[in-house]
Amino acid sequence: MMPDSLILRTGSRALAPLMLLVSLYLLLRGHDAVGGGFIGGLTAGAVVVLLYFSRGSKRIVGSRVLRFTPLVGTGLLIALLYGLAGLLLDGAFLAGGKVTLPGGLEVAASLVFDVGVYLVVVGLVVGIVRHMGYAAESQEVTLPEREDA
Amino acid sequence: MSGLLTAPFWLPLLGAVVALLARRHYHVQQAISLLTLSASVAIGGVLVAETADGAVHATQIGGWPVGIAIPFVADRFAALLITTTALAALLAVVFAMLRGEDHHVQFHPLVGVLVTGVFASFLTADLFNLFVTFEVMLIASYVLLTLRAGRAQERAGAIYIMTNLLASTAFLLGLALLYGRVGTVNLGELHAAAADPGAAVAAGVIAIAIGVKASLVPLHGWLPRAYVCAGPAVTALFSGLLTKVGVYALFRLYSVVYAGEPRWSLLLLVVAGITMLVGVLGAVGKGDMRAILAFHMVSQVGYLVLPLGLWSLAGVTAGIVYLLQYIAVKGALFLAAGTVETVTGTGRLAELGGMLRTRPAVAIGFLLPALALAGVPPTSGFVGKFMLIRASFEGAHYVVGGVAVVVSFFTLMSMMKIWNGVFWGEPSAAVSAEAGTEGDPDRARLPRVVDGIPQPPPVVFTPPRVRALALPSLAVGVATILLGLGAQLLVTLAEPAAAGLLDPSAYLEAVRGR
Repeated sequence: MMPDSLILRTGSRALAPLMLLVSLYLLLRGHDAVGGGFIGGLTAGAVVVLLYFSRGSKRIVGSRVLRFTPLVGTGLLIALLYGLAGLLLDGAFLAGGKVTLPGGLEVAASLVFDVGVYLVVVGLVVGIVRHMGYAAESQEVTLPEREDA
Repeated sequence: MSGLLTAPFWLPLLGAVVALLARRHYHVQQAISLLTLSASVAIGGVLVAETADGAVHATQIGGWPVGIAIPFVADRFAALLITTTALAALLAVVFAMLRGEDHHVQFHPLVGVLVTGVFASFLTADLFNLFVTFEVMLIASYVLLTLRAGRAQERAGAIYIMTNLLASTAFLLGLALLYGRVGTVNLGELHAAAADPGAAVAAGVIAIAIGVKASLVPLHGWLPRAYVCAGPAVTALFSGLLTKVGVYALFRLYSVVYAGEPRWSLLLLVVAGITMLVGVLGAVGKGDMRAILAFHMVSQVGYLVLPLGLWSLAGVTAGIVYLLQYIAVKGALFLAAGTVETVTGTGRLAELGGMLRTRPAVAIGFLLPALALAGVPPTSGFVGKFMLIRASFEGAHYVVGGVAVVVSFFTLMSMMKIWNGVFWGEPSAAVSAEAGTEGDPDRARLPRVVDGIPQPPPVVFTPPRVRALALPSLAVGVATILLGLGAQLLVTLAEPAAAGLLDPSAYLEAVRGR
């Protein structure tokens, strides 16, 4: 892993929650404006990469939440069940519509689908970091100590 | 109807997702695979019944207006292919379970995703969506090919992935050109679009990209290199599904976008003839069962695209009959080769021999599909080939008809070479020892727990299990004889499909939602 950087670690602690909020914001506004599940998922994926850079692959591998299969599996399941719900309720696979929440807020039903996409994309980034992160770590072990470090 | 039409898409995908989440439970994964594939066969059968008398059913995904939505359309051709490929996939998965090739948490989910892509490719009537479903299928196949990562697999995987990525890029480029020229990629609006030279070039780029995936000569080099490196069950799975989707897409493209324009006939006939010849000659120099069979796959693609050049009712009917039985036959041959490899631990002809004495069921399970592949009566292969060659001569295409006959002899010779090498004569040392039944030596090295997931115990090749390995190929072998004798059934099923391709007006109306 790269040299331990105090600046990166401290900075990531402030940045990570902020980035996560932005990703959720992008996810929520996605139906009518720029954003959506995919771009939101990528932003959340950037948080994963930031965590990897600042705390090393142990942080990712040891996490109970950041695991490839559950994230991708759940995401796909949510997206699929949304499609099937459209088939059951509206007679067409993936059919959409607007849902009015109790507060008078109108939300597109496809937000459910977007949440699924969001989870899949985060899962894919986690999968990449976990696989490639391992390789970098094991290579590092065989390298000799640097004189100027 | 909407549920039924989309079911071949969401059912296997749902199975894949549940299998992915149930990754700790090996037997649950197996049950899900068997269940979804059997259900897909049944759904395909219902679709075949629903498309009697040339009826075509369509649904617009998401209930969006026609022209915006992705249409999913089932005509007889698509329905027949769904049923057949689902059956082939089912047999390959059963075989994989028997020999323990599915001992990887991602095997069953990937098979689910693969067949999702295959079925959706058959159903979609939107060329961009076809690109997406192709990718779904291919991405799953990339991982399946390299699932047991060894040096050879990695190299084969690299060739396979690079070739297909290049083809996909060309596909996308062609789509962009076509959209730029015509303004739509919806097949309902593209009928006879190729009358415009610009659109013809754009669709030609797409056709070349699909030609790579169908492995037409000269775009075939990747297939014999890549396929032999996968596990035997995966090779059988790929052989039944992947190139066939390419062939299907070529039929659809020629039927709708080119409207069967006869000016391309000569080019198509030449490509078909050369593909037959090059494939069969390539097999001559090979000394490994699956390598020989892989080259024959290339050769057979020539037969499969021959009807495009004929484009008569007799020719296309013959082509569909041939395609349907061929999917099963080729899968069965690879399964038989896989059985030989599993039992003896090798697929090289030089090390084998005399297996007819030690394992007669395996020998018969190879012989019957091999005869069908060569086109020897009374197998279904004979019926398909005879109809195809007769249609060529009726259409006064004597050269390509002659090539088809000659290539059949070469195919028979190749099959006899395998027969002599593997099954005839005195049992060789490898055949007598049956080293493969002692289990995979690699398995002992593998960790018992991967990523916190307990791995299933290694397969113990008990005598009943070894005998069962031969059953899938034997079943197809018997079926080819029965279908050869009762060939009228296949012809009756295929004729409306052929008529629907020659005159796609019912298909087009269904896509346009009228």
